[in-house]
Amino acid sequence: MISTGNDIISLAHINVLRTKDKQFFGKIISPSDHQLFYCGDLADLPFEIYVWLAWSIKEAAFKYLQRQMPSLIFSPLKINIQSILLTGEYPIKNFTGDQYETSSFHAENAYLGTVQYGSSVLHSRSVIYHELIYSVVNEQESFDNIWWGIQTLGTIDPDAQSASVRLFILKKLHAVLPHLNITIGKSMDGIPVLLNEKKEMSIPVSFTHDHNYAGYSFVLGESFSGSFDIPIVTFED
Amino acid sequence: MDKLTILDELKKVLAPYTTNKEALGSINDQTDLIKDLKINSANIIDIIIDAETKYGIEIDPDSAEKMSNVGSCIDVIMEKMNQKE
Repeated sequence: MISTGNDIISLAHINVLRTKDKQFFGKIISPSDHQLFYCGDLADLPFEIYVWLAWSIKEAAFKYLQRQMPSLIFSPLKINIQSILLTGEYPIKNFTGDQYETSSFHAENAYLGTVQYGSSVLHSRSVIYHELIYSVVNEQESFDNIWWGIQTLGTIDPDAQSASVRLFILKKLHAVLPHLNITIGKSMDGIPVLLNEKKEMSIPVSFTHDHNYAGYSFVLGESFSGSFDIPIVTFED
Repeated sequence: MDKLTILDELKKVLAPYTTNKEALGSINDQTDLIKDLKINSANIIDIIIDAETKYGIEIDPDSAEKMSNVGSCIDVIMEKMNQKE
């Protein structure tokens, strides 16, 4: 079953002192995760940013896996980060504008990660701005079929945030698949699903919000085949 | 320490991390930290640390996994306090 998972962290709201405390970060990163921080590409990151980068990757991996294992409980230390790499220079920029959305991570100099839970090995892409960290997890190494977006929220009410990010993704979906009547529902396990004419679609979707930022991810190939009564359609990027 | 006392203290621990003060005022064993109190998953770590500090206990990852609702939080805290004695 294809899946997707994403997570966003608002960096203005992390507790830097607490994050650097071993009692705290020891519940998020394992000793082997910690060792990665001292290897090559990550040395320029402040440690607290690394801890929350690891959290966002692990939470995104959890969301990915939860679709396949609905009873799974998020336990950060049980999801191991095997690697986090940078492909080039990474000057951290400001997140400007109200929103940003794209497909794949070709335009971003993202952090490339590999995470493992049990026998599952997943891949991650993360972007870091001064204001936020955003991660997406995918089963395949290629993220060409991953669509994602980040937006600034004008509310801290969790329900209003959920509504806002749902509206955000629906605008994108209606632009990409204009002939479908897409809405958002929840599976019996409480996992968000996309519906077309009230029938579940085979496009996995994930939402995230934290304080004043929200994000979405979904998987849609160049040739999308709905798993129910949806005809094969194509779209142009 | 009895369960009602811990419940009362747990409300104070949870308070900084929930915007749903109405739900906090009427919590019971079944109150889910994320679904009902709208607590951000990252703040669950804060709550575990606050509980560890308040009660002088250590909550291991397996026990932390169980802390999804108020009742299970109280059970874990009481279990760890009993182990300490």
